Amino acid sequence: MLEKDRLDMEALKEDKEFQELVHDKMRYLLVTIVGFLLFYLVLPLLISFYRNQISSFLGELFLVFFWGYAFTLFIATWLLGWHYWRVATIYDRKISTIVKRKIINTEES
Amino acid sequence: MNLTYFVFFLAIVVGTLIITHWAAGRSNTTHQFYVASGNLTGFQNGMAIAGDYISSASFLGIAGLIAFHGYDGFIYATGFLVSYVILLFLIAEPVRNLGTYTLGDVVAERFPGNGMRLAVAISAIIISLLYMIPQLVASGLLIHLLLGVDYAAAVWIIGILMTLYVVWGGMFATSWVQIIKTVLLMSGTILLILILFSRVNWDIGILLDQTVKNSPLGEKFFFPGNLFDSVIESFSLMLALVLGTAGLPHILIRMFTVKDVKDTRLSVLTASWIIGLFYLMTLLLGIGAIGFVGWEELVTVDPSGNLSALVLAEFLGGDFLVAFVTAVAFATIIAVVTGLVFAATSTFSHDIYFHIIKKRKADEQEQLRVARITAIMMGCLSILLSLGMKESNVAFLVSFMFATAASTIMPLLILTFYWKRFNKVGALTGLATGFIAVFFLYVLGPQVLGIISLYNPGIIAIPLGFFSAIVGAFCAKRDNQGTSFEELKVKIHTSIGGRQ
Repeated sequence: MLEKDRLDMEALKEDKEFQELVHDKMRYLLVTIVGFLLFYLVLPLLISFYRNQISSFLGELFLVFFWGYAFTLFIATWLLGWHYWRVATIYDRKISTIVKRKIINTEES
Repeated sequence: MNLTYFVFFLAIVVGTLIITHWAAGRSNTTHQFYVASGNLTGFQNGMAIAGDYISSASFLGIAGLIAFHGYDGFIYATGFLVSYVILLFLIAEPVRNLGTYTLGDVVAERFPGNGMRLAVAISAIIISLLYMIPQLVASGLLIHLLLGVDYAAAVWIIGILMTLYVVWGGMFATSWVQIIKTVLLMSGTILLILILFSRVNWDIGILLDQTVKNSPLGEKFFFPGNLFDSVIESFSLMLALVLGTAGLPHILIRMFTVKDVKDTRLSVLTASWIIGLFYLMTLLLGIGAIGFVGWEELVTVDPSGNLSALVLAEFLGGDFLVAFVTAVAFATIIAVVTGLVFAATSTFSHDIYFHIIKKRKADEQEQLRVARITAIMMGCLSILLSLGMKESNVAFLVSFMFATAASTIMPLLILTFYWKRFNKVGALTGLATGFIAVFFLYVLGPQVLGIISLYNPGIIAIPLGFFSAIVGAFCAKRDNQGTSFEELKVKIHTSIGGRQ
């Protein structure tokens, strides 16, 4: 590891603010992924198990419901990607602020 | 042999060889050879990932599945796309921040030592080579059908081409072959769609009416339940598709070819856009094929449905358009197999030869020489395996390899990146159990012994892969040898101190 990287690493790894930030980010990642997987995997299961009930409930809309599900997967993939891009950029900025402040503190002390 | 087909085929071969010649001058160091100096932009790399990912099974197979099975064929395709969310959110950035050239580098960052590296390398090589077989078999059959060349000759032609690209041009040639394939594939598909729509005066209603009239399924074409009759099989397949991409070595090593983590993000985003748009267009191709050409003719030409897109092209634009689409399919094939040969090559030469056999004591020239020899070996091995497995079921093998990747490398990476208590014993147990599980499910399944009736092993193998890794980790002591988890967190989330 480069000397500068080693100093950054030492400054960051015990830092409480950094830990909290990573914790926040991980929670965002996990909640999104679990929600998305549930939507992708569980909805078709429900449809297979309760097909008759759903089709009698929805009537003509049954077809719209299926195709809606399929196209929503496309839109969700793209929207989540875009959202992640924004969130990740914000986290990048916050982390680099912490890194900079830590380095200044280390140099001063 | 049809001369128009041959001219297009030749244009692709000559074009890609010119690129390889150009790339050869830029493959003089290991950094250039393995990761194209990390010089690709996010957008270029995204195109290359799409080129690496969309196989002929997608281009021709999915269009055929939609033409024959309607809605279910389309749902099959969505699995390939949604996996990019998992890749983007959980895998891409840690891989980029920890690794240098291979997946072995990534895992070694947390668990150093040759044993761990060897296990990851062997897993990556097995997955790449086994994934290559259906690709090469499909391409052999396709070229045989289209150009009238003998199956064995077709496999040799494609096998030699892919090996040449890797040996001479390394990652530069591989990337640009994939980028050009993406451009050709997208423009070819857009062209087909435009002609298709002009035939129905831009009224999609006419197309849908035609589909209902010409499909033996009638109105049912647009309803689920035509392809997957078993809930367990379809769930198992969906699980393997959504988790499998994040465990495919030839896709993961593409994360190293950009300059920073922001570009890695952009790469995966770009790829997901291209792949999504592509599958939406494939839906129209499938509907167009059944609506215009009709079921009977599609089945007469090819009962598996794999040639539906080409039959549609013939209907829409005659021989010339077929020649163009054939060339696109050919480019599609070579881009994917080149990516696979490259993944197997870099893993063997960097992880096994350089790190394990030579204990990092080999100069640049020797490493490059060995990488090139390895590429030739891997190329020959793939050709021989594919020649011997001509009869294998291509669509089955592709989904089977997704399940294998999702039960071995995917759990390994997730737990390595995000679980503090994880250790080497857990990692090795997980890998071994994942492979053993898919192997036994394959042997016991309908393809060999038929003792159990499960075609898609994902539903058992994937949870087992995760579970055994977790149990293995709990059975052994905490592992404090490598990077501590706190340091790993910094590396994963900040790019500090990771790859040099």
